[in-house]
Amino acid sequence: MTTDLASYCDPLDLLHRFVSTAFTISLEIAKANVVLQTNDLSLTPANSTLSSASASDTNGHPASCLWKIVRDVDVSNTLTEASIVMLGNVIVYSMGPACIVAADREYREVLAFIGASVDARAYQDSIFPALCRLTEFVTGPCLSHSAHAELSAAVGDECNA
Amino acid sequence: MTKLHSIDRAVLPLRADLSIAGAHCALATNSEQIVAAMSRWSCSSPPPSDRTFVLDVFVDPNLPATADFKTETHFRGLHHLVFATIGSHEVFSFDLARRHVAGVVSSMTAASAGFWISHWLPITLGVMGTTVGVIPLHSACLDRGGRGLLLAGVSGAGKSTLSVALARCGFSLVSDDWTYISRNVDTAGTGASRLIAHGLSAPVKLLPDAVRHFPELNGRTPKLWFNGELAFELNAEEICRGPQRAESHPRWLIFLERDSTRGCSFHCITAADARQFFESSAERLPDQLPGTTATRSATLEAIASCPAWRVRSGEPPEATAQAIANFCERN
Repeated sequence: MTTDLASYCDPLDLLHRFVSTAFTISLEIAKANVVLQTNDLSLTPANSTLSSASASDTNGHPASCLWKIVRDVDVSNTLTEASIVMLGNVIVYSMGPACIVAADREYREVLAFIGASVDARAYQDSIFPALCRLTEFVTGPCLSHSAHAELSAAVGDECNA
Repeated sequence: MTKLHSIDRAVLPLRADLSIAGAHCALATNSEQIVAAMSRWSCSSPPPSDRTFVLDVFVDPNLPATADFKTETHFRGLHHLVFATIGSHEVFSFDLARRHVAGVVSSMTAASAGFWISHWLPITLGVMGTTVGVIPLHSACLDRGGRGLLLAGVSGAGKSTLSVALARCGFSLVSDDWTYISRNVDTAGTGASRLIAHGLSAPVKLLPDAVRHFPELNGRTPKLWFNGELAFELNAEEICRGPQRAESHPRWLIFLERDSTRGCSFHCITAADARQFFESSAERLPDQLPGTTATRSATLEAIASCPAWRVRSGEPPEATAQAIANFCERN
């Protein structure tokens, strides 16, 4: 199966909310059943299962987390230093326009746009670990004060606050 | 180094209540400059209501400045969340479900009053307005004696140019590009509601070809806007030669169409056609916000119930404005 990505232009959808994510894949990430919706199969980790499920895992169990990851072919920026903004139930993880991820604990969702210039290695090394830690945030127990350090560890750097 | 910010009200000691186009914005920040920039909208503290959204802005003096926020701002959205990155490190999140906007900016951005007044507050209201019953409408609005003229049309129809021309022949400008519509329920208890069209005193945006109609633009340099468009950014009262108004009550709907032949004609259109125009040109909203979609539809239906005309004009803006002014006198 190939991934067919095209530039997206809808004057009534300037935020690209409605980019089609035709692929649905079941994963187990951080002990959570994750349903990944994406428009680009290269954004799926190895050993994942392609399925037609939309809100449940392949065994029919309710998904404990939804990942919606959109390959943003209209963004050619390179990755910048990471910025993490924590806002109660929401964490926004950004590496500039080439990587914007939001995790919502109450909605149990991890939502992301990944730019065209992000190759497989950069995705696996820099972004996928952060997605996994954000999944822990979404599905795990209440976030403690030590979460700052944990999130920082996800990208292997130190924090400034 | 990863920049990590945890934003909660404990680190945002400064508070202000803002009344913006019928919405209530509860602002918290650690920057006196931001509070000062937004002071034009200050109001006494109302109780939280379905018109309230929260805006939390943390200023980190260690963040690098963004050279040009108009060309370095990037928006995306999924489900109930909208994200904006400004430059490499400034980030905003708009949570439409919880009516909560939060962001981290540099000291330079915090100090730019123009950024907040002319750009970020209008953008914020454009994103959040629908969630608090204030519907952004891609129309100009002009006022004459408390009665509002909403001027709609496809991009490039000449709304802004005609708005300036109308403002020079007896109307007052409320807005030239985006108008924010709220519905106030009659306090007399009749259950009736009244539409209010709000402007934000934003600068007037005219495309470079407006020089043909306004010679005073000669020598000015158009700038690049968020949408990649090149346009003049003008002080409204200066270019309109008169005071701007904050709001009006819609009375006339005009759908402007350019015509290649001379003359200016008025054709009555139905409420259904007017509603269809607004519905078909409105931003698509996600399924996660069904109540918001319903609120917008109800407001668009109310707007479409105003008397409406399609105006086809091949005349210059001054002549079209005069024809519309005469028409409104009779209707």
